[in-house]
Amino acid sequence: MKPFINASGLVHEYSRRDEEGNVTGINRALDGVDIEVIAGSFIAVLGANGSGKSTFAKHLNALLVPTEGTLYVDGMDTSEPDNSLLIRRTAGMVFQNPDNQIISNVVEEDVGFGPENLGVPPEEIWQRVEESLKNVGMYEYRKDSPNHLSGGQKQRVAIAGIMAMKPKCIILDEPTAMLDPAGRKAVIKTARDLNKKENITIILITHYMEEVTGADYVYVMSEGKVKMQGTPRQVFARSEELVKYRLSIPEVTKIALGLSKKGINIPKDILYVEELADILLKLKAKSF
Amino acid sequence: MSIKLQNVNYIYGMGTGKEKQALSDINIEINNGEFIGIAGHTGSGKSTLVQLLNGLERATSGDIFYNGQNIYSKSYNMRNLRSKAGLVFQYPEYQLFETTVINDVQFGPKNLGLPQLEVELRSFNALKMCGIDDSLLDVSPFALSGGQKRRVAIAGVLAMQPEVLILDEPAAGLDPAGRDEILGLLKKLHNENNTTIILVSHSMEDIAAYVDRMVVMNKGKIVLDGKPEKVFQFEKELEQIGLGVPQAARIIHQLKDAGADIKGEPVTTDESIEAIYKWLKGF
Amino acid sequence: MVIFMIRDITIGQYYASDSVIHKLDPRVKVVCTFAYIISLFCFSQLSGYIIAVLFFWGITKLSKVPFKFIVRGIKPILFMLVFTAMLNLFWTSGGNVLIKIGIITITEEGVKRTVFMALRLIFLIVGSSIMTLTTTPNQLTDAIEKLLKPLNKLKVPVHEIAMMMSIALRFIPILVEETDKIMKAQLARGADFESGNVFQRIKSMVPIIIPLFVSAARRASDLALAMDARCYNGGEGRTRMKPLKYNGQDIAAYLIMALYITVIIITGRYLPL
Repeated sequence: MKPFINASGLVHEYSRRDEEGNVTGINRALDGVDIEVIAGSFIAVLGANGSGKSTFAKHLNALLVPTEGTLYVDGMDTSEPDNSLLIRRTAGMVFQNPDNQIISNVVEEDVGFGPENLGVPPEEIWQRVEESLKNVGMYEYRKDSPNHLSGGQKQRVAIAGIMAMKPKCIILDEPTAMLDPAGRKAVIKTARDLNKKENITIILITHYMEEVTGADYVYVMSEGKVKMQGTPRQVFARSEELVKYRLSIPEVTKIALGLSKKGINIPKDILYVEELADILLKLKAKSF
Repeated sequence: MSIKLQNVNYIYGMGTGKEKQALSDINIEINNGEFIGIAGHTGSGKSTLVQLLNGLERATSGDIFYNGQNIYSKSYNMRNLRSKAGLVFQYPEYQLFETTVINDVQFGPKNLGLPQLEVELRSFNALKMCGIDDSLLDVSPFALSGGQKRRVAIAGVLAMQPEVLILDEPAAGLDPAGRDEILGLLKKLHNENNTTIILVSHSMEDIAAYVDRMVVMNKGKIVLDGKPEKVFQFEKELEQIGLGVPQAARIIHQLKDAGADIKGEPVTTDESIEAIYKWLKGF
Repeated sequence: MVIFMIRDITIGQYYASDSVIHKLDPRVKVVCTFAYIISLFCFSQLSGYIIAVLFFWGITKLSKVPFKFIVRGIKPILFMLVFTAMLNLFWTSGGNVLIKIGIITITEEGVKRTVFMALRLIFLIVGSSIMTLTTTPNQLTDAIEKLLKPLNKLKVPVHEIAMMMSIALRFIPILVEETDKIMKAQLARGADFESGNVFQRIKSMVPIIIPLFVSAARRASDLALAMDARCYNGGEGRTRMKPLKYNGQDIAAYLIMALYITVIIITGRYLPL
């Protein structure tokens, strides 16, 4: 099967300039990234601040174009300027700061902004707005001002705004970094639901370990490169490497790892509290 | 420096017809040298509380005592209070404004009217404490990375040498290593300088790992107050107010619920590993 | 303190309701607000003010916006109001002298002018707040865009201007909140905004203004990206979720406005008081 997203040897360079605008140096934000994403999957890209993960996200949305290498989104070359609008409606993007991506003062008008830009007829815009807001559980707030919503609610409105463009894929660029735990949970749950129920491909960019446990596949980025990849279990089992990349592992994985270091016979790739409790109780029962 | 709040109430928007009680009947005493965590979800009143603590907002009713002195008495010097109780806001890097890192850090101590030598000394020390390299002193603060900016901003408050340091979500948005750096810095300040630290956070893991005492707020009230291991026993209650407990405590609770005879009330990963190990080995 | 007053600005704050005024076509509201403001300068006697107040009162009632919200708009201009009032009071000559202290002379004409000027300013502000309180910024932008469309022929970027206005309105409350936060953060670092002479006070604003600019620039660049990501590509080929269409009540509103203007003009011309 042809991958939905295919990055190969992707390089992005920023040039640093002094006050007169002369180039003083070049930063390689992406340095030969190879990532493949199968349609309908839930992918997580983990990385510390400055690892290049957000730059990668911007490439997926054709907000940046490759310096070297290629990136195809749904078969479209992102370096082709004529493709950019089509790529953006195919793979929509949700950003980190909830305030800075809401354009209108009324929730429903904001959700309608994308379809308006696409030239969708009014009756259909209304239909899409209603559907998208219901999908993210924000329909009852449709007449409200975004300023009165919590951070998590604003992010869900932003997701609805993307959904209204009927994308095949949503890229979430650190969508929870500015939220409290309750808001974080709600946003991740929304992304999961869209993946399961609407078969939307999700690419979640984050540095919160707890959020990626449910992903189908995880890429770990550092210094512009993909350093690790695998299922969440495979990745979290390699905790020393993660720490090297300024990341960590969920507490429960840490506990399992700690016990295994002490000589307890226990898998190192545990992701959930219930799972660990289960294994430990069985282990205890056996020892009698 | 001890702080005592007595029957403190705070009502938002007095006289606008949209009054909202942000704090109701807060009574708490914070002792000299404590490392205390304040937890609560957005809108629980914790941010209002810290603004009362350094006099930026004034309680609608009730009294606040610093070292036994009522800060609302007429003779009390409010600006002096602000220098003694340093407050680091959420995303403090948004307050940077000077042309160089060192100038920005000097803003606070300069405002205290200290002699230039003292201002410089304090600023250098604060930057060092926060792990900012000397080579960055004359760099524009806007050219730094996110984590560095955050530490420069914190240095700006530290340079005032407050007796109490209050921080509102100091690790928000930072990656795990950046978070550990900031929280490690607080631990160091607490251990070396005996600074009283008040850490506002909604990360239960951070609170469990760093504080001696935690206060849980909900709907403008203090609902729980005590050592983390005691407070985290109220897992259901904490979950109901949108907070939960760290995974390290949750695993212990689950095992105990299933009949496991685990000793103690561990809340950090290290404590949990130790307790589970002992239980498995039958100690 | 100027900065503290920013918090009270009503402009750009929509008050959700389902009143007749809310449902009017935004073009009607823009045109009528404009006409109302002009009307304030078409008379100079008491009877005119009474009519203007009554008309305004009627619209307010219909809009279901609480009176408190409307008056709040006056607070930020209070300083300007008092200042112009003073000027008028002290500098107008003519009529009977009421008070004379040293070089200060207050005349009957001066008092009259002062009161009327202040009233005009107040109604100018509250009149426009009624429009912004009952119209969402998006609607407002649509209206301005449609009304100014003829200017497109003169190469005026009407759509872009309208879009910029709408975004400015959305971000005013956010930046106001941010100003408040930055101010508190600097106060916590011992900043002093209240003492010293004028120059010192202006200088003391630097620690607020720079972070505010930096933040506004960051927000602007974030927003530009977010708009690109949502396929924004200028006004061309765009459809509208809420297309503007005049219907019966809009025509009625225009007629009522025309009637009001006629009455005001007649009053201004022919009524003595």
